[in-house]
Amino acid sequence: MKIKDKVLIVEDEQSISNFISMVLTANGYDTMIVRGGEEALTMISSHCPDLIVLDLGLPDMDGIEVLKSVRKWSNLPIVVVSARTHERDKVEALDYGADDYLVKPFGTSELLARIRTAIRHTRTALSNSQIAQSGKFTTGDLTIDYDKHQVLICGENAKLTVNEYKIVALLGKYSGKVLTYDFIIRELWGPKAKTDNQILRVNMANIRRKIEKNPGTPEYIFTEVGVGYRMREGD
Amino acid sequence: MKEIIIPWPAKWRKKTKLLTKHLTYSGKDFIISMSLYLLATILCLILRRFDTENDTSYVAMIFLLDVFLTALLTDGYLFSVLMAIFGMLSVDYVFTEPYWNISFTLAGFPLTFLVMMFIAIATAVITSRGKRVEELTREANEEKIHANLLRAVSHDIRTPLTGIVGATNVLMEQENTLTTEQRHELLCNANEEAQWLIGIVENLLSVTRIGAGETKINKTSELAEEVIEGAVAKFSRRYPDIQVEVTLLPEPLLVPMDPLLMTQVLNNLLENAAIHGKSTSCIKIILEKAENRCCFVVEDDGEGIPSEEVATLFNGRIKHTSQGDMKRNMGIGLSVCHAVVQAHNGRIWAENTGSGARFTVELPLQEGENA
Repeated sequence: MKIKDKVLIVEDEQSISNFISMVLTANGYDTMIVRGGEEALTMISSHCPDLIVLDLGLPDMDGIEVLKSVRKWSNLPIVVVSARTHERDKVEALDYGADDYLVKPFGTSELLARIRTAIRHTRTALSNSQIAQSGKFTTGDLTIDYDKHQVLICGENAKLTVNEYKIVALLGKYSGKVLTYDFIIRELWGPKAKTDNQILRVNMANIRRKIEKNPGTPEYIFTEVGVGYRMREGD
Repeated sequence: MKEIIIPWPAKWRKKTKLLTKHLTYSGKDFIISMSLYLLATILCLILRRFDTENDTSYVAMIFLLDVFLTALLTDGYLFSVLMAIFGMLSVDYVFTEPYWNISFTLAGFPLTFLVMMFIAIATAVITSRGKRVEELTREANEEKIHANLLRAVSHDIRTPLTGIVGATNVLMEQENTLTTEQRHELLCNANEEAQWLIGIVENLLSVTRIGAGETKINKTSELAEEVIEGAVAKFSRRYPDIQVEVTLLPEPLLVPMDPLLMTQVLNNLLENAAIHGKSTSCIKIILEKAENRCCFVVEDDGEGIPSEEVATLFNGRIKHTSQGDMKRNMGIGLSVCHAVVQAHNGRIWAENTGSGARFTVELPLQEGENA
């Protein structure tokens, strides 16, 4: 018998939890549904799900509290779904350790893709098994060679500067996941770096001019407006 | 502080409260009235040099004008009433015989004085009230705009909702008689309508982000290309068949803007091109830069804009035509574009190119032009 991944859905709206549950079951996951934050916390510690789909607007507590309390003891992947659209809310959830953030309304394919990515990331120690095995990350015509510190487009060196390479390498490590501006800046320039993200933006614009066919419709690195960047999933 | 209860009948008390509400004090108003008072005094002193007949009526006139100006320039009517009293007293004290003396002895003077005093106070009160009426009218206008917007929105929402409710009803009630294709079609329709509703809600959210026109939008330096990217990505998910070509500048361009709002603007323009161009197959987005401004140009190869609508496209009025597809009226979308661009101190306009429509959004590149 195939052992399925267990997904805990924390959502108080029945119509939404129903449809998420149906989609997930149809795609080979086991699902459990809870409606409140307290209940969610007990279920998480007793059932150890493989992933949590967490709504922020719960009747008994703010979903962010659930997120914080789980992150105290566990790394298990959490995908936040919320009707809160302000970029501030997204950044907050991601900073408190959410693996991804989906704004309601979302499509089923989007949800499945994010869940797959989140589960995969937590499972592999180096966040990306491909990199661990070959020292390389490949998606489409883009290859990041972590051993040689190079980014290749169709086999050609894209001639990135050191900082540009660092940004691409970081995004490649977490491919499929959105990294906030602050996170990227901290990883690159240390915790004391100014949180002004202008330098990062300009770097990104230059990177895109080197690796994308048309920087206006990028294929590899996508912008989450007001939040951060996301690298396309690896092949 | 506890409210002072005046031992008057309740009806009067309310009126007193209304009166005292307008007796507001502020340092600025004090300075304004003081300077007006000084000006009037100096003017009268100068005029007295040329005054041979010892006719003092001009003095009263000047102080009356002073009262009028005070009422116009200060809030409430505390200062204008004070000005009336002091003005008239100084007319008596300084400028009428005997000079530098309060005197009611002059024949006929008490009456003149009282009448002048009364007129001054009345002027003060009436002027302040006129100002209040203006304020009320402006508030009423704002409310009217809101009401219009709400009407437009509920109209735009009702049509797709009818579609969704209808389709799902048929699916529930006639489950067994429908063919698979019919069922699929109904579901597709319902989904399409729901998508449309999402678009409307997103536009409404944008409106709340702009605020009521007082709160400034939150501008940050954003890469123009990232905003374009966001809009195109969203658009291509909904309309995968329509090709979007993006032309950027060789150098990255940072523009002060609210990135989510501008994404919404471009997305609205793209959807507008797709829906209203009818035969649109390709949309071009071109980024241009000229001195201290930049332009986002959205050009389609559709049918263009009906010439009678080019001028009135952005005023957000729902056209009350009975024929045609009302839902596809981009009333909200384009007026949101207009509002957002205005909040950025930019301009937006539309024109026909001969082979389609072209919308241009022009934004300032410097923050300094906010004033």
